[in-house]
Amino acid sequence: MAAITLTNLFKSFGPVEVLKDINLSIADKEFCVLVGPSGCGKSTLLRMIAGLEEVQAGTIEIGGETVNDMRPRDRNLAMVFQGYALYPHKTVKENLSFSLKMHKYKKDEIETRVQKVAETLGLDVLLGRRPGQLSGGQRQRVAMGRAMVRDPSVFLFDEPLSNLDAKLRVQMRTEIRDLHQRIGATSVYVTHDQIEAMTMADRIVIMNNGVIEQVGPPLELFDNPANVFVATFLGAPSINLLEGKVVSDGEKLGVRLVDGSFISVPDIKSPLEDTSVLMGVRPHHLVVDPENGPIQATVKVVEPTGVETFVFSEFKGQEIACQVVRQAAPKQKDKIRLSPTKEGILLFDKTSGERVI
Amino acid sequence: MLYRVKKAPWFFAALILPAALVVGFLILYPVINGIYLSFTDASPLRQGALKFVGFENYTYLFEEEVFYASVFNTSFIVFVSSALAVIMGFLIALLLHFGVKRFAPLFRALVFQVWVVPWICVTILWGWMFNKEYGLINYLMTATGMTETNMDILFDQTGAQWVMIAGFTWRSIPFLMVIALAGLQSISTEIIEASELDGARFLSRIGHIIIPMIRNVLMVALLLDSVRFFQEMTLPLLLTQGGPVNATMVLSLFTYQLAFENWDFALASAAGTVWLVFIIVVAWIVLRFGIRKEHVK
Repeated sequence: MAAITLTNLFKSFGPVEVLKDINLSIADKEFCVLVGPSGCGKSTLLRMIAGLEEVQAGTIEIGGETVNDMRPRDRNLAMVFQGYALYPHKTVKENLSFSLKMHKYKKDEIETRVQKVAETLGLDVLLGRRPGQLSGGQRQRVAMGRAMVRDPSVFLFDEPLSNLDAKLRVQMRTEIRDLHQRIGATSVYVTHDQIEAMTMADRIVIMNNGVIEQVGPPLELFDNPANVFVATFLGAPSINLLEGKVVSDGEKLGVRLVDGSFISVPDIKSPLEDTSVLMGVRPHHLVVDPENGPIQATVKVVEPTGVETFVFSEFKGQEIACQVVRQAAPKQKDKIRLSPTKEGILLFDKTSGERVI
Repeated sequence: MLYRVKKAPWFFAALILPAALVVGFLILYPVINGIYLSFTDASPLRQGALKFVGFENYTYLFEEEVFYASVFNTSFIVFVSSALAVIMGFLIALLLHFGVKRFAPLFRALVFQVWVVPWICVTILWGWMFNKEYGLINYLMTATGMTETNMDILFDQTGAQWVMIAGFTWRSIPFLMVIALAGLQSISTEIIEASELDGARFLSRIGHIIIPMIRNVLMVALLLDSVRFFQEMTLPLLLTQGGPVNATMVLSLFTYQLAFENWDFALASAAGTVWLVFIIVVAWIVLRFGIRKEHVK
């Protein structure tokens, strides 16, 4: 059992507050991804769990035990570093067995464990090599193996894939995910890449400026973001945000956009009338509607990606993205009319950024 | 336009010429001339043309007891001083890097001041430290009751050697410290943190991770330092003149005395040549067995 509970964590480096009142529970065997822009404090949080950064206020519990003052070696966790941090003077085998040696395992126990991990990761033929003689992907695997060999109860990953090329990154993503399913240890994974977060996580923790913006399963965060930050952070191309005001057209409430067009929103309630809002619509929720589309835009760029085609057009000085099938793609400078699907409309308060619908 | 050696050989020759001249006249010529003189009877006291004498100088040298004493003393003093300097420089670097991190630059600058002290001052300083009547060492030893009366350390054979070693080591610690510190700083913090998570305590971290990673740097520093010690003669010349009973006679001083006290340039050249071969052999041993190539990319 190795659930992680963070309670009221604070951390500052000098006058800079990096983490402000972090509360988070990570369940046993969960794969939890911390994601956010650089400088949001996600790496610091991970390092605090590892014991590499001091806890200034609050508590960290692992498996029900407060570990605030416990040294890293006693926390029974393993970490995969961004730069792999392999020992350059040791062979792959020595790299893998080092932690076992330090924890005074018996020789034959070390041998069997290293062998097992090497087989799992396909490193058996590389055991005699040194990190300098390995490719990026192989080094990544050794770093993973070094973490696995001790059967730790918690795995920490600090942007482990950011040094790999795009293809390998996708491949390692699946491998890590697959390993997690086989090993089932609690994992905390830090990344700034929202695709990695979406594809790998059981739950995503979105951080910004030292606070947690929202926690939840990937698709839930994608469909129901709590605020503008979460909405824009997930999804590529990112969500369209159109300024407008909640008004009534006589019978029902809706949003009047800057060009005067009116879009009715079914769930809207009357207390919201007259508030300035940002209407969020994801590109795949904008459909081309030549007759009735309320949003009239001019096509600027058409980006075919193979399966779907993204169309970026201009609407009142603002860029607006929509996703169409390739047969229906308009051409540059075409005038198009777009209409948001009913279920695709999210409304955010313009000043606070909080979601209102 | 790119110049290529094959297309413009003279241009490249002209570029290399100044360096070649400097190396040729200041380094190669003296070495070759020295080797040449060692096979003659060269001396400023002798008139007329040089006479070729074959290996006579070498035969004489290898039958000379003082020569063997100086080879042995040089090896002993240089080896012990270099080893001590490396160990202490490394320890101070460790202290600066992991202990007093904050003021490391300040302490580094302070310790480095020793490096600027001229050898003549080192000589006077350590001479006085070990002085029989007024020396600090004697004072401390009698004050703590280790000895009853003041000892004349410089007139004791082993004592005099250790005074040399103390002076040499002390003067070289800053150099080794700076090199070791640079080595320590080149180890990424991720690796140190990884070893921490792997469960290595401070001492195992030093033994298993840090020393192996900066070992090559330390070895090169050790080599540079021992070559400097091989050449250094201010300390023995001024403090002990090689005494007592040749206990501090080192190759450099031995050669110097042959040349400028006995005025036997030929014999001095022979000693110098042997000395040169000796240094080359030592350097080869250090580079061959001390440097690990496997993890150097």
